[in-house]
Amino acid sequence: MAWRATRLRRENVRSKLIGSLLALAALGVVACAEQTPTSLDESLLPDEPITLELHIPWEDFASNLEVIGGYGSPSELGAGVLANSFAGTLDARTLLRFGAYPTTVSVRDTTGTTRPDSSLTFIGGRVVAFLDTIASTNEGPVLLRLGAIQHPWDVSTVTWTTAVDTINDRRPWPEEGAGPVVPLGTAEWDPATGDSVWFELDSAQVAAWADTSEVSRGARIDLLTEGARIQIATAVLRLNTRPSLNPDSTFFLVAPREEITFIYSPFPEPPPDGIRVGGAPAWRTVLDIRVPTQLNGPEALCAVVVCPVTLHSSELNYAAVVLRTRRTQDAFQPTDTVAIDVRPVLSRVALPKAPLGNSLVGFAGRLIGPEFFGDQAGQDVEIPITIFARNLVSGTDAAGFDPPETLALLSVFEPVSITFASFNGPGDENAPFLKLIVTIGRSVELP
Amino acid sequence: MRSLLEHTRVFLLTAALSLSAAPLCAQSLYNAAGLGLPAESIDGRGRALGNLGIGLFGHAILPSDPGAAGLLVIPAAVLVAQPSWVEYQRGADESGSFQGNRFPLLGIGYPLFSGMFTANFGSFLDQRFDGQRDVTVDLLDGPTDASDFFEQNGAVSLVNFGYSRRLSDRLGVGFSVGRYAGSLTRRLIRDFGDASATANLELYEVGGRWSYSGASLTAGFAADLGTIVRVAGSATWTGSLNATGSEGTDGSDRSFDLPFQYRLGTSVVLAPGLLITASVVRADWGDIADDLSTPSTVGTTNGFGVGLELSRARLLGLTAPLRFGYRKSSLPFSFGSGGATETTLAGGFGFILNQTGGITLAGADFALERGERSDSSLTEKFWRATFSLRVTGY
Repeated sequence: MAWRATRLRRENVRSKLIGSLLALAALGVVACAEQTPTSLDESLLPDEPITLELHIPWEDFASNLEVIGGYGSPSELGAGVLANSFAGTLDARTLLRFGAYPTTVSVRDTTGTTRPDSSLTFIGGRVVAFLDTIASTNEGPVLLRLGAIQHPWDVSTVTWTTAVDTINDRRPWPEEGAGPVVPLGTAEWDPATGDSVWFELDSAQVAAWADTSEVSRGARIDLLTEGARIQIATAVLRLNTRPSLNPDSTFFLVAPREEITFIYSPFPEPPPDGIRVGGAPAWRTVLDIRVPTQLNGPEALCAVVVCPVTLHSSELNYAAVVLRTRRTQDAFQPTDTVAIDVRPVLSRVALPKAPLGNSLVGFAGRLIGPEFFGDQAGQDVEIPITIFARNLVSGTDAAGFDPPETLALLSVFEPVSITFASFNGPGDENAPFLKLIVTIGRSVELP
Repeated sequence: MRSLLEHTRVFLLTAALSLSAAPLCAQSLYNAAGLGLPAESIDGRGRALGNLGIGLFGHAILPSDPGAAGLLVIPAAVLVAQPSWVEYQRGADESGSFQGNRFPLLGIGYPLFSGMFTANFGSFLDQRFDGQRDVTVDLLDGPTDASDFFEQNGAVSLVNFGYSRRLSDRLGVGFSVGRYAGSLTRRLIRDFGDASATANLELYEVGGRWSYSGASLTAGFAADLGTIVRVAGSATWTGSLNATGSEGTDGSDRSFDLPFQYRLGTSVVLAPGLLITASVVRADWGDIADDLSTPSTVGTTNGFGVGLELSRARLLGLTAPLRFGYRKSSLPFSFGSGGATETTLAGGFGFILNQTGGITLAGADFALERGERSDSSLTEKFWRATFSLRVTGY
């Protein structure tokens, strides 16, 4: 009995102990919503640091400017371009190939039963082109022409003068501009009435494009109206089909677009004194950057700290290359917002095929309106490079390696358009400059 | 073999209690003055009695009363939690509130070599606070608003290891060797926010982290005059408190002269179940003034506390001593010209969870204080709760 009473008492004490510990823990948890007292007295804070904006001229921060072209091919754009003496100079034509034709169709026969029919007769068709009304420059109707290509061509390497330009195989067009072609018809496109245009085909032409092993098959679309530049978003081949099971009916089948590219002339020369980004194939501009690590002014800074003062990476709040836009050649002037990317060049000696680092401006890039390369040219555009500059100041990147010193200005997607952005290069008052915002103060001491 | 098991158990208990200790947290705006706000390592019973950590009958392991540990005959441990809720007023317009929690004491005592070995981990100075300053910076694009955020996070802690022993049936003496620990991080951040004319300005951040070190020695006695009076006293000598910057800290290393501290306390049993207590403390912090670089008023900390305990009260069928106390002490650092004082009125009770032969084997103590800290520029009114758990004879 006494043994049982002692046991009960021990259990009682144990439960109380556990309860007390839980209460202690609960108190701690309840009061864990810590609210740090905020001092109201500014004198308790360290001395106020100074924030300055500095502009470093081209000669003091950049060198070895180089414009390099040839990144990607127009076929990667997935769209076509047409031009005829646009801006007095530019001619462009779109080349297409269509895929394999459908081989069966479900047909309701004379008894009313739906059955697959693989014995199809193609009695004609039409090429339907869908046009990008925003990227196109014309406001009125224009005349387009469709032709059948007669010469083998390679979609990745085709140019105005060359049909094939692969390794050990360079074949020029018999006639510059992807010619000659067999004319297949013309069509007028008025942007006020729609965004598509079509060309009728007879059964012979449909049959000619049915053989997918034929490397010379393809369609060429020209613009006959002068002074315009038009962008083709895509195109399809619609086939008029008569099935054997129901020969009184006509079916419409679609052969998808397999390849699309464009060729143009003249090809722009690299700018001798400027900066170029974009185009198809795309242009990039690379330049070497150096950031001052010692500051000996201005007076406002030296009033706070002893000059010259060493700049630390943590004191660099913002760094940007400031470019001044200039008018692009009229034929290649942007018609839509331009997205500029900037990335570190990880190995300058490997240019033009040097690997690039992560974007310094994010996925969307630095967006610039097209008017800044036309009527409103001469605007300053900041391309932020803060992380890159901080690495240069600290002498190491996030991974602990020597930071790259070369930057590449490029289009966010390459290629994205036949148009490109132009900026002033070094040599005059419009030259790029480096904008720095730094905050410098005394070290924080103990109270 | 049994002794080894017991020692292992003590070690494990000590380790468990140590692991449960949380970092010290903010309790006052006076944390921003000088080296911070003293944080005393006192349990719930002492808080409820307005005691300054010395001269109480009982079985507490308090670092400020090494003599009392010598009168203990069985192992003891204590864990203390202390949340507080503070409202402040500065001038006519500025006011606000905040709250925080800390664990000011973790102590353990175990009999060894005919005496009592003690180990304490406690707080010494709370230093955590934030500050904010709105500024305008002139860029070429025009003025831009920015804010300077200052964060001071850390505390000075004290780890004590001591030995106490009974010289006679009624006299205990003891000493403890302490080492200052803890660290302080001070960080200034300038944030340009969304208001900057130029997008995506990175934060400016500067600061450093310092680790504290230093040594202290505390010696004391506790004497029972008959069975109705206890008198105890202790003195603490402290060398310099050294703050050493870690790698990457630009700020310089510093050293602070800490004062001698003297404590005296007594408890008197006026009648069965009725105890009164009084205690005083004194420390002259004047020498540290030359070591400080921020403006603050430095003074002498004199404090006293009195209290009353009705030990035969019962609550919910358990023995639950009722306690009341009052204490007043000056703070070493303040913002105003005349120094700051802290006064509290306290009440509380204890639960005796298990008692054998007059020895409390397990108990919990709760105290609630209503207090005020004030100097000529800042007034804080606060509620402070203290909850402690005592275990003996484990």
